[in-house]
Amino acid sequence: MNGSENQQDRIYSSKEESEEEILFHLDDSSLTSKSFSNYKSVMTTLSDDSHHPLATPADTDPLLSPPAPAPTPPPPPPPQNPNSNNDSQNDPLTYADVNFMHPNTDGEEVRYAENPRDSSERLAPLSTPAPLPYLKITVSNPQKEMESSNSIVPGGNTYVTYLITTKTNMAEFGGPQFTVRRRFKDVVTLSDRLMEGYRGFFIPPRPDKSVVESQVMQKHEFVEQRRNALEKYLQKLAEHPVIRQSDELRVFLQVQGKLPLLPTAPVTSRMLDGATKLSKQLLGDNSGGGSVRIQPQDVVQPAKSRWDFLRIVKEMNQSVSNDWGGSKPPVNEDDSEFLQNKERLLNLEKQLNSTSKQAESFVKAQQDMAETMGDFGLSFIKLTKYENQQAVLESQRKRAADMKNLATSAIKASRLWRELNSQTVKHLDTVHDHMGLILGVHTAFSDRANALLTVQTLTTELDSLYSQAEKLETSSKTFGSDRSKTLKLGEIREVIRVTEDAKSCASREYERIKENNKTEIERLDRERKVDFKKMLKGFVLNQVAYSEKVGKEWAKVAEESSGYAKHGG
Amino acid sequence: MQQRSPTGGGGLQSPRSPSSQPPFLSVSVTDPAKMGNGVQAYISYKVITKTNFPDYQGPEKIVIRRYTDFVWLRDCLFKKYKGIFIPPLPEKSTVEKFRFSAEFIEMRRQALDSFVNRIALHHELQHSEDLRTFLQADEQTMERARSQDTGIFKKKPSDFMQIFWDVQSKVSDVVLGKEKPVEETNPEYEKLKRYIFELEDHLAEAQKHAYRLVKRHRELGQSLGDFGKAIKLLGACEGDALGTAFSELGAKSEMLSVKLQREAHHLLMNFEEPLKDYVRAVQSIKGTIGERANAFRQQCELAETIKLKEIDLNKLRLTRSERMLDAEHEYEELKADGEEASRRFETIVRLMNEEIVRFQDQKTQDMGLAFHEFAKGQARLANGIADAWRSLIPKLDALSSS
Repeated sequence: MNGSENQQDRIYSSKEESEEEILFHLDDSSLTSKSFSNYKSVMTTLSDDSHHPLATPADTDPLLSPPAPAPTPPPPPPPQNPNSNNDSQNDPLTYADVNFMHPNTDGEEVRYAENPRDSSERLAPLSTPAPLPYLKITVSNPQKEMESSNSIVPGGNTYVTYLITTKTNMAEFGGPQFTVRRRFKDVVTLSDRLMEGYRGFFIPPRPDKSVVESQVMQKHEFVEQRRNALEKYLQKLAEHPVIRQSDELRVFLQVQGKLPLLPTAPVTSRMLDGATKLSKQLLGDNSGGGSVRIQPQDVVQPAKSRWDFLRIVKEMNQSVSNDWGGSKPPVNEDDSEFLQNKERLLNLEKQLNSTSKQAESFVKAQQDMAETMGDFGLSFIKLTKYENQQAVLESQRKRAADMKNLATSAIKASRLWRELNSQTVKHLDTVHDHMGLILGVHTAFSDRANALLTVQTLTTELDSLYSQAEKLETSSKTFGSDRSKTLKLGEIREVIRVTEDAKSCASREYERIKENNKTEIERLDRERKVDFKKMLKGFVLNQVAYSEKVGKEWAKVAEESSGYAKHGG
Repeated sequence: MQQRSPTGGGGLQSPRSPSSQPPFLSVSVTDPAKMGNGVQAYISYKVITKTNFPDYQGPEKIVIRRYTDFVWLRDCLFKKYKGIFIPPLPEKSTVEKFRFSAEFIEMRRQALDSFVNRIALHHELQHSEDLRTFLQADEQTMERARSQDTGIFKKKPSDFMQIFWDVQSKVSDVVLGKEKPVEETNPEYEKLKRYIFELEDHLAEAQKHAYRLVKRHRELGQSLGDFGKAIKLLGACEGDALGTAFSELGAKSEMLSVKLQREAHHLLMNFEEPLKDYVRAVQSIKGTIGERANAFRQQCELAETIKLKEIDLNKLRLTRSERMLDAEHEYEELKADGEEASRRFETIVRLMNEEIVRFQDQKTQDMGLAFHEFAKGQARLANGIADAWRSLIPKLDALSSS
């Protein structure tokens, strides 16, 4: 196979993709394209208020072409020519295409630059070689800015903005390089919107908000730490095959001036709002003059982030009865699979953590060894010089010469160990990276649990409503007139209808999230396996190459000093 | 100069050898055993002597000795063989003694074995009566000798070290020019003194780095072992071929961890200890330098006293005093003492000149061997690492193509 022939030479490169892996991506992409296109339809229409997004099944959504032709090879080369896409002009990249372009080589400028030969080599068996999509984000140049003051307090607040520079070859950005200034609050907004919009996906967690005094906020070290954390976070987003395509990210990176994403509303105001609305709805009170109906799709958002107090209470009751902790879902075929995966991933997270720690201390020990070997060599160089200066007898000169051999080899060995270590650091970074990626699992899984909880809450509601209706229907006792009974029944039935709608939205959402989870788990596993294979190979080859060199060096010295060796017995 | 190995015996020419077989004296210090409890605890060693020396109970004799017995021997030799570089002893430890790790015991045994062997192989020292006592006497006699009142050496060994250091500081004072009175004006000797003092500093620093290097080997071994364990657990999560690869990598890491620990030990015993021994040897030479300074001062002081006495005597001769006879007597005695002092000093000078040549030869040999062992060990380690990792490559290649 072509991929491995150059391994001998490139002991320093840690990540190589062979053709086999590309084909592997292509094979399972067809499984995921459908779910992504569903998702995409929801996204595009949710932001457009005139639509009732989930009323129309995604299949008939005019924005999407049927997913079938897209993922089969030969692949469409979308990024090469921004203006000439394949069949449907508006076809957003499907998950298939995204998968095809190996996620790990994107956004890493160095490797991209180093291995241009590799990318064309990899695409050789396919009909049209295309450059892999590339999105690199850097954060720099923190600056203090003043909040425009419309408050009574003169002077206003100062905050820090950062220059976000993007370099890309992806068509939808419309340009190869651009910059924008953003503050940390904007990043929080971006993160919140992504969390809402991409539930079920493994989204990397954003840097922490720090609650510190404004004095500290402006200190150079703090700003530098934050800058670094922001860069890492944005780059991780850029590496996620789905999120990098998102409107939210694009808007964040490109749109000048104020960030046009709505921040998540403060919980309190929404809570009150929603509490009155929903209670009216569910208690059948339509009077509140032009009552604003809650769109069923609002059910899709988890209760605690957005809205109503009542709902929170209801869901809490439900969760208690659900035996919280495990949250036993209704029986589904792939349930046990999910649970197994969940357990596996949590265990994996633990092991990644521990391995990451041990890797760090191993690398430190290797570094210490290299440095001490160097100091050792230097101290013997000093001794050599001294003996040579002071030598009166021949035996002294001979000793000085022997010592010099030892010392120079020790210094050479030190240099080699140091080089080895810097390569080892790069290889073992893979463990740290994946430890970071797997953190996204937690939000994804709780998204799922929340969605399920919503479904179950609504189900319980419906059960109680149905039994109310039934009781009313079959009651022979007439309290008041027949007319009031019919009216009451009508009201209940109305509430049932609305709740059924909400439940079906919630179910669809739950299914969507489940699908996202599944896709993400597969993606995570696949990418991790690829990365780990490369890591192992790179690590091992490195160790072999350098140890051989060190061994040869010392063998020479041992040979030269073999005259001193003890004679038998 | 003949090739000498620190542990084996060799054939030596001795003018007093009556038998047809060449005379030999071979000693080894073995079988350390912990004796006693708590604060009183100490280590005893078996000292085995094989010899055909006439005064010795041959052909083989085994005695039990402890550290303080070795110190006694060293002190006796130091006192009686001025000018000769007495082989160094390992330091008396006040703290490690309570821990008595296997490694400590082994390092001490090795150092004591070196000590006795160097004495046995030295053309002068090997004839010492004290050596014979040490190698042959029963335990009771040994104990008596050890606690005997021997002038300044009636003090405990720790006190002796204090005296030793006093001498050293006196010598440093002299070298640094703090005390002016009696100093040799021999430029070669000045150079030698300075050399010895500065050499000690350089050697001590090198030895410090060597010891740190031993520690680094241990630390790397430890962390590689922990890394291997963690990698194995990670592999168990992955399962299938990748998981197997991880677990093999983990196994190799653990194996290399053991190799590193072994190499650390080898480095300690075969390089760091000889280097420490070198430092001690240089410190011992400082003691000899002190003795030479003492002898020189005595000679000068006596010469001074004799001159004064001579002046006195002449005065008395002129006045024909009845004290003249006594004075003449004293004068003669003083002159004899003076000659004795001169002779002693000159012996020391002569011996030292021989010793320095012998010492440099010895050290080139010792260090050459130590360097060889160092390089051998490092090569062995590096090749072991390369081999271990290399064995994984075919499996990893198969992995990439799966």
